[in-house]
Amino acid sequence: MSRSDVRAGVAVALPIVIAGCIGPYVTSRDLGDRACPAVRDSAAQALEWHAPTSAGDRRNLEAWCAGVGPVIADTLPAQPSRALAPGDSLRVLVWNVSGGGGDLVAFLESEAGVTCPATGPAPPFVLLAQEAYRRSFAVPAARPGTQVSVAAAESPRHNPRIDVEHVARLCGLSLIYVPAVRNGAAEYDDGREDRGNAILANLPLHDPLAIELPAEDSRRLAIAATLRDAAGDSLRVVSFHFTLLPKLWRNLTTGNAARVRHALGLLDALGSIEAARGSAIPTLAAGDANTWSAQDAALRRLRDAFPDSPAPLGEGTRGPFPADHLFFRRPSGDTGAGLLPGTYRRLADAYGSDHHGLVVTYLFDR
Amino acid sequence: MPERTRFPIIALLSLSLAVGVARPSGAQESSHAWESVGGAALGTASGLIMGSLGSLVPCNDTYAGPLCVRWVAAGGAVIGGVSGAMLGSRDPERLGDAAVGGGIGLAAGTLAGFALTPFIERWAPQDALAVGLIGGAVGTAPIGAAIGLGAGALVGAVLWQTIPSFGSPRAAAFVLGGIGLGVLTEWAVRALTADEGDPPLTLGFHVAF
Repeated sequence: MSRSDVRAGVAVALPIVIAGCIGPYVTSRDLGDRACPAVRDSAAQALEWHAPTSAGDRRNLEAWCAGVGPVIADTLPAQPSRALAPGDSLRVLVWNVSGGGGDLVAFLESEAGVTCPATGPAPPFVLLAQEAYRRSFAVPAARPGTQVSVAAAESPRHNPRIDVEHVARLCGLSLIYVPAVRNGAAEYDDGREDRGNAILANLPLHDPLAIELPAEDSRRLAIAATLRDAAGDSLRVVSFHFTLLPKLWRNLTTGNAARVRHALGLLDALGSIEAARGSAIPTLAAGDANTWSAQDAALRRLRDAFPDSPAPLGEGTRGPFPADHLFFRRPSGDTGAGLLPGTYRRLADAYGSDHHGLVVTYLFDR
Repeated sequence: MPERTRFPIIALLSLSLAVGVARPSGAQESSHAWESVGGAALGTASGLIMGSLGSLVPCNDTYAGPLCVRWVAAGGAVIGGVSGAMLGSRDPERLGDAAVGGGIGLAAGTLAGFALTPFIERWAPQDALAVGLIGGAVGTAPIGAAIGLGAGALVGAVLWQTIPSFGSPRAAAFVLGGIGLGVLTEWAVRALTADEGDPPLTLGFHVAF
């Protein structure tokens, strides 16, 4: 091999290595020229929004956003649990509902102990849901240029299919629902469908937030709310949903960066939220990361940022794949509140969804 | 730089650099100056694509993730580029075979890519082109790709079936990694044996066209 051959090889590789950085993922509260009603209308104003700053991401997200209906932010439960006292425990549930596939009512009755219709207070809980769906005429008809996702795959059900808005009302729960995409193009007698992230609880939900994650395939979100005990101690809960796999061209040209960008976008937004408020509070972030390995690069970065997280479960939540995860961190020096050791586990029943849920117990500071 | 434009620009930049560097190299050493340039370009493209494809799944499990993919792709581009330049300057006929194979792979892959359009949601023309580029890269070194595919599939399947925690994604990683490694190995072997007459990797049968 001549020196010229070597020189050729080095020259070929150099620009590739130099350009080897992950695409933009920074978010901002400034929505710029975004026009989509779902991030601009009066319902959306109930939440603090964070969106990617990249113009390309915003164009992509706008096309998806145009197909969804308004945010729902019913932050006070009709049937609350008793007020949280210092040292109280909180049951935290995480579940990808799979549109109308998962039986949300059965899940809440079995795993959260609520009764639907609501008949009395249940122990305090919060559910961080993904792929929750809503059917309503508030979901707009798709116009040209609007991106419409295929409906979430659902297995047949033996009981009525009830959307998240009606489930929250039936069970007397507080609800934050932020739709991400249209759930199929179908028009039904009683409306159209969208789907997205939801937080349901039998506690008041404070400081609701919505974070649009960097655009990869379809529009993906993280949403957050804060729960407070009687002493004012807080826990921020975050429900996120990452993409599975972008299309081949994008996957090849970005080096499979989709979930890493989502993780970094989420961390960037949470960092700026804490910076804006001047203090950090215990934060539990969980959801469907759509990972096929527990060692995924996105999970590694989240574990770095959430050092108090429980160890990965080591079993699949979507078939054999460890798709769903839970992360936790508390401010440095704070050793009071935290996850109760030994309580983090996968739920045995999938309730008709293609995902098993997760559960953990959180203890407020005494 | 927007994600969607970065890699095409890098690829073009790489090729232009390969041309710029390889041409005087070939001019000084032999009369096959332009074959050396073409070989560097073809090898670079093939190595870049195979390095990317082969590292997607394994790199997914590293902290570096996408950066790991880029580094492996860069390594593939170096191996392919240098091997291509050497092959072009020493054995233009075999480089021509690789180019023809690459063209056939590109065409077949692109056709297959477009044929997938009705079956995959939001499958775009650039995705069909990506299949074509992979086909083209494989076509430049089909024997290495076939050996890599077979070996990767065998090892991946055995590990998948014998180690409960291994999982199908890692088996897929062996398949894709095997193809990538096989293509790069064939490029390197061809370059290193270019003066030695018959190619060391040959099919055990003849395909009549």
